[in-house]
Amino acid sequence: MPISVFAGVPAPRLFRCFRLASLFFGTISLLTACGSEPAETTAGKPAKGTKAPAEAPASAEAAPLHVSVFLEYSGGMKGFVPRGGADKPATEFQQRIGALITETQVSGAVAERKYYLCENAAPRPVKFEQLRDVVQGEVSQAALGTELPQMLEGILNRPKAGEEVSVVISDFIYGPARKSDFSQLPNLIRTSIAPVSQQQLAVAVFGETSHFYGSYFPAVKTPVQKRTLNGEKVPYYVWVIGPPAQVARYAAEVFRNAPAQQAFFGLKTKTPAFAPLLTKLTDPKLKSSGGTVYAENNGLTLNPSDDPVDFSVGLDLKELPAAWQKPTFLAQHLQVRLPNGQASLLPNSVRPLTDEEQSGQPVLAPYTHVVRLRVSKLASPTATLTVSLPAPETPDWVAAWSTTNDNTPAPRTFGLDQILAGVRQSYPTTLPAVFTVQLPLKNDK
Amino acid sequence: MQTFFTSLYSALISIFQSQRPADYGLYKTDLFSLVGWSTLGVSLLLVLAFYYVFNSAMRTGMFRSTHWALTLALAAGLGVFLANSLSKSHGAEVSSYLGYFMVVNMIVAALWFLIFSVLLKRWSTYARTTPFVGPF
Repeated sequence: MPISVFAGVPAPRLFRCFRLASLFFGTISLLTACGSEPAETTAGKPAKGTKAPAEAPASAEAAPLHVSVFLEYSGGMKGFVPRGGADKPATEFQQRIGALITETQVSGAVAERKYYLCENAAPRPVKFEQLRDVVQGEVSQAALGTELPQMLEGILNRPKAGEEVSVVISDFIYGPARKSDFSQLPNLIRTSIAPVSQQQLAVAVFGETSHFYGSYFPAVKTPVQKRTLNGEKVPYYVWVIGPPAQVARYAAEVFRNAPAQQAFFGLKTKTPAFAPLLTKLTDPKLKSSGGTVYAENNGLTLNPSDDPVDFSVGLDLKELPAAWQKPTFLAQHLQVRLPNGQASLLPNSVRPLTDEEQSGQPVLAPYTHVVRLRVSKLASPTATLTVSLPAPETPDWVAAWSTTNDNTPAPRTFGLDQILAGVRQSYPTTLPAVFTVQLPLKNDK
Repeated sequence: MQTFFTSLYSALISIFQSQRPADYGLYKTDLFSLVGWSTLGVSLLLVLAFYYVFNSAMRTGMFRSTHWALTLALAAGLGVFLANSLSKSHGAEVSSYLGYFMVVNMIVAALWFLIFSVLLKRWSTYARTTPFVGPF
C-alpha cells in the first residue's frame, strides 16, 4: 500500500518519511505500553462496569451455630435403639441419629453443642458419649416419659432457647392422659411452642420410619395399651427449632444426610448472593439474547421494546435445605415479579452449576444455581425486578403419614397433621418468603 | 467530559450497530472516556511533534501534505490500536461492538488530528501552510 501512496516521491524523501513514521510510532508505542501494562495485570478482576451487584452478603461468613440436641428417652423410644451386635444390623434410627449427633459433635459449623435426655419435663444434660451410648442401645433403663407439649415447653423455655438451634428427636406420639385434650391438639402444641410464635423461630421437621424392637405405646390406648414389636417400622421425627437462618444452616450443613420427608415452617435464609451474569461467560447458553441489556450501577439497563430480553442470573442457594435446591422444586416455586413490566422465569432454565463450571469460570464461582429470566415489557424508566422463593405450605407427606388410630402400628403417627397444624398456626396466614432478591432495572430508551 | 465521550462514541457506533452488548456498562463507565482521552492525547502529541518538533525545532523538510497525511494515517492507526488494546485489557469481550468501536475511534483520531492541525499549524516555522493555507 505505501508504495502506491509514495509513487513519484524521490527516494531519499521516501526514506525520510519512513524514518519519521517509525520515530513517531516508536515514541507512541512506548507511551501506550506504559499506559496499558498495569491495566493488563488487573484484567483478571471483574471490571468495574459489570461488577456483581449483590456480592456483599455472601462474603460475610455466618457465625457458627450453638446447638442443643434433645433425645426423648422414654419407654416408647427404647425400641428404636436395640442393643445390636455383629449379627443385628443397626436400625434406621440408630444410623441416622448416630450420624447426626456425630456430625453435630465434629462439624466446624457448630461452635457449641450440648446434649440432653428428655425423660421428664426438665431435660437432663448429658455428655456426648452418654448420648451416643443411648443411641447405640448401651443404656437399658428408660424413663416413663412425658407428654409432648410438656417436653417441647421444657425445651423452648430454657433461657436463650430462642437464640440457638434446638434439635428434638422423638417419636412425637402424643396421647394425652386427659381425654378432653384430644380436641385441642393443634392449640396445645401451639401453646407449648409459644416462643416460636413470639420470636418467629423456624421449625424444620424431618420424618423417617425405622425398625422397632420393643414396647410400642400407641396414642390410642384401645384395644391394647402397648404392643411388643419385633422389627415393624414406625416413624420418628427430628425437629430443628431456632432462628430461621440458623435452622436453614443446620439443615444444609450439619443434617446433610437428612431423610426425604421434610417440612419447614418459617424458614428464611439471609439474602443469597445474586447477580445477573452477562459477560465473561464461555457457555453460549448463559449469554444474554434478544434486545439490548447491559450491567450498570448495580443493576441492569435494558430495552425489551423490540425483542424480549433473556439473561441469566446466578444465585447462591447453598443455605437452602437439599430438597429445596432441586431444580424441579425451584422451577415450580421461584417467583419473578416486575411492577410496570413483564418478567418471567424461562421454563427448564433453573439448573445447579457443576463444580467444573464454578471452578473453571471465576464469574460463576460465587453461585450454586443459574436461572434464566425474560423481561418482555418494561413500561417505566426504572423498575425493580424481584426474585423470591415463597415459603411452601405443609407438604403432602404429612397427611399421608397421619392417622387417627395408631393402635395397630403402621408407618403413621397419630395426629401428625394436627400437631403440625399447631406449628403452622404459629406463623402468619401468608408465610413470609424464604428469600427475596432484587435487581434494579433501567429502561435504555 | 465522560458524558461527552459516551454520547460521541455511542452515537457514532449506533450508525453501524444499534444493539448494545452485554458489557456496554464497561464501555460507558470506563472505556469511552479512557479511550477518548488517550486518543485525544495521542492525536495532540502527533500534531505537536509534526508541527513543532519536526518542522520547527528541527529542519527535516517534512512539511509536505504527503508527510502530514502519513502522520494522520498514523494517528488513525493508533486510534484503532488504542481502542482495541485498552478495551481488551479492561475486560471487554471480543464482539462486533468492539470492532465498530475500533472503526469509530479510527475516524475520531483522524478528526482530532485534523482539528489540532488547523488550530496549531500557524505557529509552526516550516509547516505553517501544511496541509493547506489558512484559515488563520
